[in-house]
Amino acid sequence: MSVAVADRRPSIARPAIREALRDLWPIAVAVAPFGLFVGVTLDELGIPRTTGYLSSLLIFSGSAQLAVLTLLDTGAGLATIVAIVAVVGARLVVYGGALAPHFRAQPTWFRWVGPHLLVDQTFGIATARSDLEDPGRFRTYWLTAGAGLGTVWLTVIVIGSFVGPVLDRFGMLELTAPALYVGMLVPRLTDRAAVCAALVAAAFAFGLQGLPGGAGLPVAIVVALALGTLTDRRRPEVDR
Amino acid sequence: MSGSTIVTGVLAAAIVTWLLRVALITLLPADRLPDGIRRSLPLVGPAAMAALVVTTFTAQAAAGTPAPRQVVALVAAALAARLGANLGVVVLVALTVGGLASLLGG
Repeated sequence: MSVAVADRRPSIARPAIREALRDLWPIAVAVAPFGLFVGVTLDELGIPRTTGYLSSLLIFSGSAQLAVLTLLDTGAGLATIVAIVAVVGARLVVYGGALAPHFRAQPTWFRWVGPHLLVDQTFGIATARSDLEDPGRFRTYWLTAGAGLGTVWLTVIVIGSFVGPVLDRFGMLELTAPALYVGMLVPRLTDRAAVCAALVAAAFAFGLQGLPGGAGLPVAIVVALALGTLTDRRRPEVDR
Repeated sequence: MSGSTIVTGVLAAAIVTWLLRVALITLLPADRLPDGIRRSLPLVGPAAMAALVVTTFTAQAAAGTPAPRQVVALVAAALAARLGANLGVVVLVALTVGGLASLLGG
């Protein structure tokens, strides 16, 4: 990666496709258990498989997809589904804001289509790299990582929907998601503002986890941004 | 659940998530945002990842994964990341340490 990539100097010779695929594999391992779980849920809720698979690619967000499927199962109305999905996916707005500079000089089609591939994992690996300033290079990297992740995501969901009834436990794979996020977090703790933002976000995410629809997550991020920026402003100029 | 209900719900969710994604990229590019908000954007990464660590940790604990085993595994992962390890290595370290902790009864 990825993680070490943050300090790596730009390299024109190294193809963006190869680097995206290299960054992708640990993510693929990490999303596999969640994808299997989504596949198992599709099977348990009796969602037609083709519709379930298409929903995976159209929504491209495991948490939002699970929310929609379970809401549909409980007979929720369209307004409820839209509201809950907006809350569950609210962090995508903030991710988009952080990635916007990479999309500024892109072709129009990419500015409309490319963001569809924005999820926690693609945001994590793309923002960990410091060598994606070139628009073409970023586009190639982003499309490769996103399409690769989508392929893995759909594959494990298909597997989960078929082997769901016999799946009992996922063994140690349950540690992959938090470990992945730890691996993405640590290299970002480069200054006081970042550490402050991370601590505040962690504290609020813990304190607000009881909020319905996973609303605590975006709230925690927004509060952390506010306090982290405040810390940054109070820092003496000489310290910067 | 009828087929049309499912399709309508899925399409609505797909449109909402897409709008969330393009909101600050294409609809209202972030460079047009007020200065205070733009200054906070570099902090999105650490804030989001820290919140996700806590959320996934507590979800796994609620699902029955022993918290001590998770803590040991995640501390090992953090150390590996701090030493500049590849993200895949970080995950493997966490799985290995978590497995060892499990064998030792953690």
